[in-house]
Amino acid sequence: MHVTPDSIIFWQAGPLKINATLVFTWLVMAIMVVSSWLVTRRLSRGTSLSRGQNLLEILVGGIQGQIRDVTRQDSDRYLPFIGTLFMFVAVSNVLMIVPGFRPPTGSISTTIALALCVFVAVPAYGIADHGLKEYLKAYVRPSVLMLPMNVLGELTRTFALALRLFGNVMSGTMIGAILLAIAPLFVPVIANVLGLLVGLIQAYIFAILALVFIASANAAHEEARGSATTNASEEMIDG
Amino acid sequence: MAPDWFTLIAQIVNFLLLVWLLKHYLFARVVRAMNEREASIASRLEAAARTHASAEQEAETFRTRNREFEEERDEMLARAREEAASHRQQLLEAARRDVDNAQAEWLAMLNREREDLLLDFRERLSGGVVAVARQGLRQLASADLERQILDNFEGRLRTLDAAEREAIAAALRDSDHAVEIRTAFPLLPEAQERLSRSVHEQLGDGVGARFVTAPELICGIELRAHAYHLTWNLDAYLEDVEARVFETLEESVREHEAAR
Repeated sequence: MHVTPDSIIFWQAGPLKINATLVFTWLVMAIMVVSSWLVTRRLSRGTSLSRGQNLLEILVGGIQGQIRDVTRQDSDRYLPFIGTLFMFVAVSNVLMIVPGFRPPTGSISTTIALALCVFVAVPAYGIADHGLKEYLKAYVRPSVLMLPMNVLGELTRTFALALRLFGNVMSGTMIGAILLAIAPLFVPVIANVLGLLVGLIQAYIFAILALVFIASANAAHEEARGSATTNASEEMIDG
Repeated sequence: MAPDWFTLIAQIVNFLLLVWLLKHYLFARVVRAMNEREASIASRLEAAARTHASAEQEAETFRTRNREFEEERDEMLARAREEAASHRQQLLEAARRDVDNAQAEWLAMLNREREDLLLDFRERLSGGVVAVARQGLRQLASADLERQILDNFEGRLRTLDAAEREAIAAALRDSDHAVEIRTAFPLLPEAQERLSRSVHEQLGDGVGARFVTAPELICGIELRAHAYHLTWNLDAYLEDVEARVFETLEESVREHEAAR
């Protein structure tokens, strides 16, 4: 039994290899991109919509609403990244019920890759908003002594994010396999239903946490900059 | 359970590629479509609101016009009623005036007719009385009526009181000292002589007498001395008869009206 789809290797040449994680990732990507293209090539601007467009609009509208609720900012900046993150994890987890499908999110390589993307996205959005210098200054606030703590916080946060998703998806697959061995009738169905629920919840949690990290980092930088500006103006007034 | 580094890097690339693809094929298009729809709905709502406002304004205009029309109609009705009442009053007054005029005319005509009737009656009566008197006197005595009249007049001259004599004397002083004796009938020379004598006896010798025939005196004789008249004729009796006849007629009219 393979705990992770990384170990199912279809083709290998030196360090290059094509395993189940990559194949199923491409499959998920293909499903998402092709279905999006099919729906969005003839979009209606009027009040009558196709079912596919309606579904996508509900999905996109829901994600936009969540982003607005969490960040209190314009949702369009975060929508492609957070939306892709949520949809990729959700579709991968939902396809888990298809026999033979191995969700790529059940691979630690995938979850670490996604967590690394979030890890990079947090400073990327921060630098895009405030500039590199201002962003880096935030790590030495309130004092230089806090620098190791801040860096360690960023790293552990990313690692926790990766492990949470991996653990949940992998455990769901594992529990399904074990139940199948112990009680092969009916019980795995219930476990699969639970797995669906857990998979969607994990997708939601992963996306929301990524959003919170990005938004809170930006908010923290803005607060730090705001207090620095206030201190500077107070000093000027005192001077 | 260590991560596979090649897979990890490939997954990062895959994820970034997926972000780009979905941004291009999904999010951008869907968000644009949603924004355009929202804008179109907003503009339609705005247009609807404008139309509604304009309709409201138009409805308000019509309501105002209706109110004005009703007020105008009420005013016109009231004016028409007032004019009709005034016209009716005018017509009534005109009718009343016409009736009053007709009544006045009728009454005047009635009065004229009554007066004509009475005049005629009086003439006939006087004629009748004279004829009756003449016939009666002729039958009663041998002397004719003129002689009786002359006797009566003579008697009157003799019984003149002092004031009357003085008045005649004053009138004679202003005139040519002659009296004019007018009779309805021509006097015989003896009668003229007798009357001249009576005048001389009663008024003085210097007073002359002229004799004139005047048929308008009904069976009478008149002495004129400038402004003084001394008359005896049947006219006074006839007036008395006429007054009685008038009184009887008035009484009859009153009784007739009371009965009506």
